[in-house]
Amino acid sequence: MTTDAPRKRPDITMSREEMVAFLETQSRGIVVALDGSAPVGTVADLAFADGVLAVTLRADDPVCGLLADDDRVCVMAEQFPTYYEIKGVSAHGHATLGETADGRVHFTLGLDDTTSFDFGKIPQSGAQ
Amino acid sequence: MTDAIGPEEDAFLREHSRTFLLATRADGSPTGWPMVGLFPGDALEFSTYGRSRKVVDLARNPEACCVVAPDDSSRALVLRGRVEIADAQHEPTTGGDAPPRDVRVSAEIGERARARMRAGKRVVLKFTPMAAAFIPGWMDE
Repeated sequence: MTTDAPRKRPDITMSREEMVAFLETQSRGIVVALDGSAPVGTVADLAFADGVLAVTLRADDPVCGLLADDDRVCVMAEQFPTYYEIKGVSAHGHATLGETADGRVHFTLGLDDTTSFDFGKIPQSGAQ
Repeated sequence: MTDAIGPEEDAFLREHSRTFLLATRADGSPTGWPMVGLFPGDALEFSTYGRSRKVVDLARNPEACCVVAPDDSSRALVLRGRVEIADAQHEPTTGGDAPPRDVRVSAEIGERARARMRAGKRVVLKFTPMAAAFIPGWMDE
């Protein structure tokens, strides 16, 4: 009797360099804040420079008030042109809010606590 | 259909599937995952591995939020609600045979996904919206 070897899932996480290269191409993302114990999300402007994500929210976005009360935040960027081009990065941390010249709300977030995926790393023959 | 979903929200959810499913981690901090969300009419459904992190997180705290954010739309839909893990249901209610137009996977990959569902390795997360609001979306100026 033979036994199949356990299937090993491929590691599709990105290196820091890969995350930086991806985030430099992204201009929109999802911001997740907390309303008590419940998550609340919104769409925000993103930029990546000097090793940090710079996030800008609309001044009237309810998420601004939530982040003022509880600064724990998650920011997600993702692309999905085709299946094997799907990539995403989620960064977790604390938001220190500021205000832009036009009255919008912004904060920065580093890449100290991240999850990521790059479907291009999935073997294309017998993909998992 | 829940009271939160009117005809406009219903049409948007049936047309678009790119959904960010948001939850909380063990320490209570926010997190999320980009997903394909299918809306057969009452709840937004997600297929995922039964042993995935999101199942653990949502079993601990079923309070959730979904941001349905097509990458070609000037608006997105934010839904607040709760998730139920339908661990006896391995396929979405639609069966996955008629995905929305924005699901960009080949027939081969779709069939592999359905095979894994039939093998019982996946569960369905059912998100019931209790509040809904349109916001400026991915392509908003």
